[in-house]
Amino acid sequence: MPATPEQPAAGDTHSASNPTGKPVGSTSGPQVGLFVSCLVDLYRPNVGFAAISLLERAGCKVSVPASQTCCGQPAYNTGDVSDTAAIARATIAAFEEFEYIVVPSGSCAGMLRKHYPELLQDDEQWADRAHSFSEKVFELTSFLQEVVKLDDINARFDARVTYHDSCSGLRELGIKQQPRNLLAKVDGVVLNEMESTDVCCGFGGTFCVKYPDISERMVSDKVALAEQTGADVLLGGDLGCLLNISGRLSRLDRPMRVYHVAEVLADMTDVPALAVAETGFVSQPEDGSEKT
Amino acid sequence: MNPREQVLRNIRGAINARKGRAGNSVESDAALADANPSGADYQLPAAVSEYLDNRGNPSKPSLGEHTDMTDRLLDQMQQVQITVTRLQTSREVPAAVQEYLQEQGIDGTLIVSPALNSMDWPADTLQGVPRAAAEEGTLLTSVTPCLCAVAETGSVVTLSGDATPNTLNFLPDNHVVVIHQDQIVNHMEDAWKLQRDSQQVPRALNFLTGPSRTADIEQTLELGAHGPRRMHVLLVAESRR
Amino acid sequence: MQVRSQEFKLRSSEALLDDSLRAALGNVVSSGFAAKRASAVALVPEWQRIRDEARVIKDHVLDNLDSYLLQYESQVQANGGQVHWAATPDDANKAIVNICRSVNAKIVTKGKSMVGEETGLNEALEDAGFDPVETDLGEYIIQLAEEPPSHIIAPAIHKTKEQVSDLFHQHHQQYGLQDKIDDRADLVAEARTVLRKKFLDADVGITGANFLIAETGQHVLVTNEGNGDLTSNLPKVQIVIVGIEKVLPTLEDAACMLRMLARSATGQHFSNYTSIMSGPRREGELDGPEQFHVVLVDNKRTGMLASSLHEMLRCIRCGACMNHCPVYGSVGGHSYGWVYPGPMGSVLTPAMQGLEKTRDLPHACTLNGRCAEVCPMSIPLPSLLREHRRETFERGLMDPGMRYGIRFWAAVAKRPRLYRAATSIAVKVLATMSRGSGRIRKLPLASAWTQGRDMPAPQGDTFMKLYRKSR
Repeated sequence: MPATPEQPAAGDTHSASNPTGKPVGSTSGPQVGLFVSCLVDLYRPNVGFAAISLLERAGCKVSVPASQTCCGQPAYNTGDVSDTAAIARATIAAFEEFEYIVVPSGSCAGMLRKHYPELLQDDEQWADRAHSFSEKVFELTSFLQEVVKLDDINARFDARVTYHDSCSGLRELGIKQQPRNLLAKVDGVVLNEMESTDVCCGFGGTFCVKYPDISERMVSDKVALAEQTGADVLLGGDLGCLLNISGRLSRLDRPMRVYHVAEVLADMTDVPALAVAETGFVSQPEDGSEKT
Repeated sequence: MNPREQVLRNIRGAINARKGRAGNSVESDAALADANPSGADYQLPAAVSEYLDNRGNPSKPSLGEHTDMTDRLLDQMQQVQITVTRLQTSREVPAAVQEYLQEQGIDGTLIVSPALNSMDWPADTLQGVPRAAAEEGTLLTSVTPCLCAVAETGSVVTLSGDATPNTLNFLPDNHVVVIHQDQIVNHMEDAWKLQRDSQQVPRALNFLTGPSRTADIEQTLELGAHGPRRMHVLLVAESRR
Repeated sequence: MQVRSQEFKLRSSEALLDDSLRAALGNVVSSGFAAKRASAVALVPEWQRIRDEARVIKDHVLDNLDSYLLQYESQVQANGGQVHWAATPDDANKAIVNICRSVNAKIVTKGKSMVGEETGLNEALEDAGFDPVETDLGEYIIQLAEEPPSHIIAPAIHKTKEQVSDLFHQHHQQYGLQDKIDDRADLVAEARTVLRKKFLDADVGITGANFLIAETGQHVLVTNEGNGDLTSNLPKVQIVIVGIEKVLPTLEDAACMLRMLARSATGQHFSNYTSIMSGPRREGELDGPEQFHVVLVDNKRTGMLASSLHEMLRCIRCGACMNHCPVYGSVGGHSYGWVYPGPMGSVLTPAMQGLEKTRDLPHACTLNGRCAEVCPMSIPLPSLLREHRRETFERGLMDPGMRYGIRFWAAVAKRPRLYRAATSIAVKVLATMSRGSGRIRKLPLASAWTQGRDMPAPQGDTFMKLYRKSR
C-alpha cells in the first residue's frame, strides 16, 4: 500500500496531514478548494496529500469537494466542446464558493484558468461565473510562492535533481521560477538544469496514444537530455508528463527516479518513485517480448 | 464574375460576416457587389486614411551601446562579413579599389556604375551593365555608389536609376560600394524618407547586407551563393558633393 | 500539388526510422534555428513592443483588406505594372502561363515562392511546355529530387550533403560534371555556375513577395542568396505571385515586419538582400524587366478571413513555429503531406485542402504552445488547431474509436458518483496488473502507451477514496 500519511478522522476541512507534527496555520487562513486532478486521483494520491500538507503549512483551510472529476481537457483537446462545457460548469459549481482553487498540475490549472472562460464566453448564464472562478485558480507551486508566500519548508531530499517544465504550466501560467524557488529551500537538493527543459516531453494528453511513435521519439529525446545532467531524480509539476517520462525510463530500465515536486516539498518521498517497485518486491520473469 | 470581382466580393463578405458576428452593422449585399471601383486613382476610404494619419509612431529598436552611428554601422557590417576601408576623399577611391583587389588576389575586370564615371579609372574598366561580360564568364568586380547606409541593419542601400543600374549589385563576383560619412542614417525609416525625396517610386531600392550566402545544405553557412562572393565598403569621410 | 496529408501516420512513422533525415534535421528545435533566434531576439529590448505593433498592423489590414489591395493595384498600375487577380490556383497558373506564352518564353527562372507551391505552378508551366528552373539553392535541390519542400525557409533541410552530392552528380553530367563533389562549398559553387547561365538565359523570372506596399505599389522580397534579385532583374518579364494577405499600408509597416522576419526565421538581424521593387524598367534605365506583372492569389484565404481561423492570415512565413516544434523536429516536413509543414501547416493545410483529407494534422500536436510563444505575429496556433479539432469532431470526421471513447469518458466524467466508482475499479485493476512491480509492461486497452513505455502503477486506491477514509 502507498504510504499515505496517517489520517485522523476530521471534518470536511482537513487539518492533520502535516507530517512534521508542528502546529498548523490558523483556521482563519484562506479557504482553499483542492482540485486534485484525475491523474493524481488515479495514479498518485501521495501528490494530493502532499498538496494538502503544504497548503496547511501555509495556513490554508483545505477542502476537497467530492463532486470533482476531471477538468475536461481530454474532451476539450479532442474537439468535444459541448461535453467539455458541461464538465466545466459542474467543476465551477463545485468550487466557486472557495476563496482559491489550487491544483497540483499546471495543465489542469491552465484549463480551469484560461480555457473555461473561453469555453463559456458565449454562455450568458455562465460567462461571468467562469470568469470570476478562473481568477481564483492557481497552480500549486505558484500559489505557495506568490499568494501565500510559504517560506517555512521543512523538508530534506538528498539528491541531484533536474526539473522538467511542463508546457501548459510554463506557457499558460508562467510557471518556471516558482517550483525552483521552493526547491531551493529543501535541504540536500542540488538542481542540475537540463538543456531544452522547455521542450515538450511528448505526452500531450491523447496525443501520446494517437501518435505513439512520435511521442516515443519525443520522450526518448527528453530522457536523454535529463540523463545528460547526471541527476538522480527528475521532478516536475504535472503528473501527465511524469507518467510519460517515468514510463519511458522504466521501459529502458534506467535508474533515474521521478517524483512530483509537491512530494519533495512536503517531505513525502518515503514512497516508491513513479514506476518503481514497492519495497520487498522480487522481480519475476515476465512474459512477452517487449523491446527495451 | 471575373476573378477580380470574385476575390473582392469574397473579402468584403468575409469582413462583413465577422463584423456581423461581433454585433456591428454590416454592408448590404448590394453595397458588396457595388463597391467595386476600377483600379485607377483609387483613394483609400476616409476612415482608413484617418486611421493611418492618427496612429502613433512605430517603435524602433535602440541602436545598442553606440552613440556614434558610424561605429554601429561598422560593427554590424563586420558581423555580416562586409570589409571596410576608410578614406578621406573620394579622389582616393580608384586607388583604394586597386589596393583591395591586390590584397584579395582578385583578377578580372572592373565595372563601374555610370554615376562614378568621372573618377579616374584604368583604361580597361567596363561601364554600364555587365550582361555580355557575365555571359562570357568574365570575373567581374563592380564599384557603385549608394543612396545611404543604415546603421540599424548594417546595410548599404542602393537606388536604381539611369546612372545606377542595380544589376551591378548582384551579377559581379565582388562588389565594392562607396559610402560617404554623411550618408549614414540610423534606421530603415530614414531610407524610406530618402526614397520619398526622389521624383518617382524607384524600380528597385536594394538593401545589401553582406555577401551572398546560403545555409541550404545542412544548415551550414556558405558565402557566394548567387550574388557577390565578397562585399567591400569604401567609407569616405568627406561629404558627398 | 497533390495533398498526401491523409498518409500522415504512415509517413511520420517511416520518417522516424529514417536515419539520414535525423542526421540532416539535427537539433533544429534546440541548438539550430531555435537557439539562433533566441540570441537575436535577446539583442532587441523593444521586441515585445514591436511584436505587439506588428499584430495591430496586420489586424488593421485584414479588417480593410479590400481597400489596401485596391490601393496597391492602383499604385502598381501607376508604376507601369499589371495586376492579375486569382480566386483559385488554376486562375493563378493560367494567368502566368498566358504571360509566358505571350512572350514566347522558354526558360523561366523562379525565386522561392510558397504560393507557387500552393498552386502547383511548376507543374502547370511544364505542362504548358516551359522549363521552370528553381534558383533558391534549397528549392533547386528538391526540384532535382522531384520532392516538395520540407521547410518553408529551408526547403531541402531534410537532405544530407551526400544526398545533394548524388543529385548533382546525377543531373549535372549534361553540364560537364564528372566526379562527385564532397565539399559543401564546392557544391554551392557548382550550383552557382549552372544556375548563373539559367539566370542570364531566362525569358521570364517569377518570384514570390514577402510584403506588398499599398502606398507605393512596391513589393518587398527577402533572400540571402541574391537569387530573387537575379530572377527579378535579368529576364525581360518579371512576375510576382503572392497571397492577398501580404499587403501592408506603408513602408513603415514593412520596417516593423522586417525587424521580426529575419530574427524569427534564421536568427539573422537582417537578411542579406531586402529588395523593394516596383514596375518595369523606367525610361532611361539600362537594366530591369520590360514587363512587370503581379498575380494576387486568394486560394481559400477569404474563407479563412471569414472564419475563426482569420488570425492565421497574419502569418509572414518565417518558419519559427516549425523551428520550435518538437513534432516537426521528430518527423520532418514531408510527413505533413503538402506544401506547409509544422504548426502553421497544420492550420493552413486543412483550411486550404479540406479537413477530410487532412484530419490527422490538427491532432498531431501536443498543444505545448512553444510555436505560439515564438510567433512574431502572435498567432494563437494551438487555439486554431483546436478549432480544427472541434470541426473534425462535430462533423464526425474523426476516428470513430476515439470519438466514442471520448464521448463515453465524458459521460462518466459528468457523473461524479459513477466516475468515482469507475476510477476505483480501474485503479484496482491496474494495481493488480503491476503485481507490486510498480509498472505495467503491457496494457491490452492501451497498447499505444505501452508500445514504447511502461505504465507506472497506481499507488493502490484513488485519492478521493483514501481522503474520505482518512477523514
